[in-house]
Amino acid sequence: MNKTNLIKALSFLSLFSIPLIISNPYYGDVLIIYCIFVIYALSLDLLLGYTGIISFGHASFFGLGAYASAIMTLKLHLSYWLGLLIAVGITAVVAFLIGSLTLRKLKGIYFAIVSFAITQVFRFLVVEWETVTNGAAGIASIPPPEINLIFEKIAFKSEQSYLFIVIAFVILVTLSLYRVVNSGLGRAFLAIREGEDLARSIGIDTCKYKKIALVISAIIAAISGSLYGHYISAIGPRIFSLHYVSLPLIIVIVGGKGTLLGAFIGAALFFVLPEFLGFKPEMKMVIFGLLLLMSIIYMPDGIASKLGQIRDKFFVKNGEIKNGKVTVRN
Amino acid sequence: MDLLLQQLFNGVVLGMTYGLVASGLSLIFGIMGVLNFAHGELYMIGAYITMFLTKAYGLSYVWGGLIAVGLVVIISFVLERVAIGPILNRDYMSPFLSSFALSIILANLIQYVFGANPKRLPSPFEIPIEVKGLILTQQKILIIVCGIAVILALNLVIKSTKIGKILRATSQNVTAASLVGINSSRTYMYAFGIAGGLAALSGILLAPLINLYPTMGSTAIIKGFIVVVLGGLGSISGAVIGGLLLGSAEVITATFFGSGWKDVVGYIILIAILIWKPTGLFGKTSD
Amino acid sequence: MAKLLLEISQATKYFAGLRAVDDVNFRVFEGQICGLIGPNGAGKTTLFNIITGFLSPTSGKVIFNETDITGTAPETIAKMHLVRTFQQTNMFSHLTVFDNVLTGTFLLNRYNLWDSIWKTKNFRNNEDELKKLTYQTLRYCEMEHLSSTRASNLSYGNQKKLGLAIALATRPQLLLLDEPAAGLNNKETMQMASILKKIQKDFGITILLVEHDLKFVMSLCENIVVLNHGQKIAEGPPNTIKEHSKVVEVYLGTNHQHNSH
Repeated sequence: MNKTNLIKALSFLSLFSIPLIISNPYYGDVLIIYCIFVIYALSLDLLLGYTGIISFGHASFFGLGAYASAIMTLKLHLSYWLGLLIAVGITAVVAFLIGSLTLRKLKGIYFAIVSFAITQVFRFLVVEWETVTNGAAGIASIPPPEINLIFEKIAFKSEQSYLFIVIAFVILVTLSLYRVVNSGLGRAFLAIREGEDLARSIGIDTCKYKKIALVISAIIAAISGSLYGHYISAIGPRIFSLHYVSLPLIIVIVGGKGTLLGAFIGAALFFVLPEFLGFKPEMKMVIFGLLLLMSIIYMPDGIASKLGQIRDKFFVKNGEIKNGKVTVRN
Repeated sequence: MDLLLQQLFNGVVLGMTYGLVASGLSLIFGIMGVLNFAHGELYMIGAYITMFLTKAYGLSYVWGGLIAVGLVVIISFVLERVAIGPILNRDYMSPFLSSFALSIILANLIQYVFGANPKRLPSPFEIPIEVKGLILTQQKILIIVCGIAVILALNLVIKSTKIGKILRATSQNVTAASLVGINSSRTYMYAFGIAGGLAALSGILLAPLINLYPTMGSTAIIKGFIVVVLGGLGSISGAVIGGLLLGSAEVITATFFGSGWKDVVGYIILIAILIWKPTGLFGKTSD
Repeated sequence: MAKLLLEISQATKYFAGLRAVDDVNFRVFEGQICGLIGPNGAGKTTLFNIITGFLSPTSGKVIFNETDITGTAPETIAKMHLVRTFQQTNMFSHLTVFDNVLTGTFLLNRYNLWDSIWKTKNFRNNEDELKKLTYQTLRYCEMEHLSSTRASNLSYGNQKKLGLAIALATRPQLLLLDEPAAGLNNKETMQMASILKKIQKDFGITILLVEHDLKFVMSLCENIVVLNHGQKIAEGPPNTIKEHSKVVEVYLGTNHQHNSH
């Protein structure tokens, strides 16, 4: 391990000291919700920001993750971790099926509408399939995750302990996504966003890669949904509502789409800042609706890329290969 | 049999309001290529303003409704100028997303002002009439009459007036229209105003039959999407037919499967049509 | 005789009854630079779309490297090393020049999702290779100084070159260029011509190009196909084409009229 890697590893480890510093459960709660929605927004960013697919149905995957893992632990008495794994698996399969049905034919707003309609079908199914989902009443007393050590079980019940878990997931998801978007796969996603015909002409099977983006994105959304359900311990069909569709959209667009950092900025604005300002919930939504509108009109690339422009002004990036070692072969 | 007939009648009434909402949505899409997510909120606001005017100023339902339609037309003008017009040529995503932002703003603003609790908008036309076992109300008949009148008028306006000509020219070719001196940006504003007025009108007509609540706009817009997809995006007659079809389909489904199934039938229709016949049931199949 | 690389036989495409391409036959041999010319609406781009799979012909065949590729998906055709550029959308406008060309190396990716998440040795080696190739390609197109510029901020001439560089990064065997010199000034046109010649000489890449600029085509191409109203009206080396009566009448004739206005 060289020096930079060591520094990176240490700085990630230092993030885990946050739960130790924050002892006030109220701030712990705010941070947990923040982390969960950062993950949820990151998942949408992969689709909206990187692949250029506008989804109004991301709540399907968020809700499916929450419901599936709640059912696994409550009704089948599986451990949280196995339940999470199965929930993620189910969501991935569902996303694959949805992608296969819709992505080849539907583009732009048509996909947006259909994805929202699919979310509403999920809501309907959850309400109607009472024996499994408890119908309109929803599922209550979802247990917190546990780790089974040989001598005793540790339940992540308190805000402090749950914060450990969500921080771990934020790091895991962010790092994985960062590496995905900086690989050939990420370049394929960006190429699709920038122009499908050109992407196809250089050999990118756009339909296949859109499906891959949808499945990866759905997996991450399912993780955030599951973390959400097991944290607030009660979920209902409302998880499939327009509110949960609009949250990641607002966060990603205001924060800056296609940057990953944007999800962190947007979620901080949405979940952390208002805690100190004390808005009524409706007024908060009005203000964020206005912020969304202004972002779209005046700052379509969001806050994160504004920051990026400022950074570029001061630290000019000199291409990816700086050393003149590379020589032309022919 | 009587029950089914009664339900079908209710379906037609419901479908007519869907058609009214969708016709405006379709008009905007046909002319500007924008799917206006805030259209449902204009419908909701129309009903809330009427309720406010009747309660606070003691205006009658009719006068309150007429003023509300006028106000919503003005609001629509402003919204188009501020949020849609400036980004119309950027990409397909931006106007749709900005209309979504408008929808969030308007719905929450109304909730902030009037609260989340359902409100009632009484109408003087709620007297029941019985015709051969069918129970009708004047309000329901008014909805059907207004629906037909508005759709006929709209078709007439588009086919044979100067504004209609401008609207059609702009929808076919913006550049050519601007070459012959048509100000497309003003045309868009008119189209938005007309559509907003239609939305408000349908909200005001339907409100006495249902309760008012701030999220009724998003419910309506989804129905509107289903209807325009059924009838073919951009076609106004298609919107009315689509509305009637959806209204009847919902009522019939509710009768046979229970009311929980009422909404999902529309979503399934929407998904199926967009996947297998994206031009709508009555749209031309393109090459 | 050089190897036969691309063969178009009896390609026909109707658009709502209109014959955009009508029974066109021609061949491209390995190592050639071949030109496709004709007035506006002659069916050149339609033919390009047919060859590269963006359109299916109403009838007729496209054979590339002895494989029938008629109606094959564009991405599959690209995998066979037949790559095209576009007239308009020839770059990923929000990405840097370097990332544009790096994206062009997509087919040379030799690692999977797991490799990229764990940054395995395989991933690092392959990425280094691709970045080297990108750098070489940029240098080859004389654009390495622009590598961190956003594509949308490039001059028009450089955008055209970038389009070519992206296509080149795919390591094509046959390159189809849709109006590579359109809108370029004299100096840029000369530079483009010299790059194309170099590509053909250095890499042995075969080129088929659509172009309006006759001087450009005549100076560059060994074989020229002339289309008018979807039909092939002449084919041959530049000297023959220059004197071909039909070509003079249809193509140069209208051009002269145009100039006299």
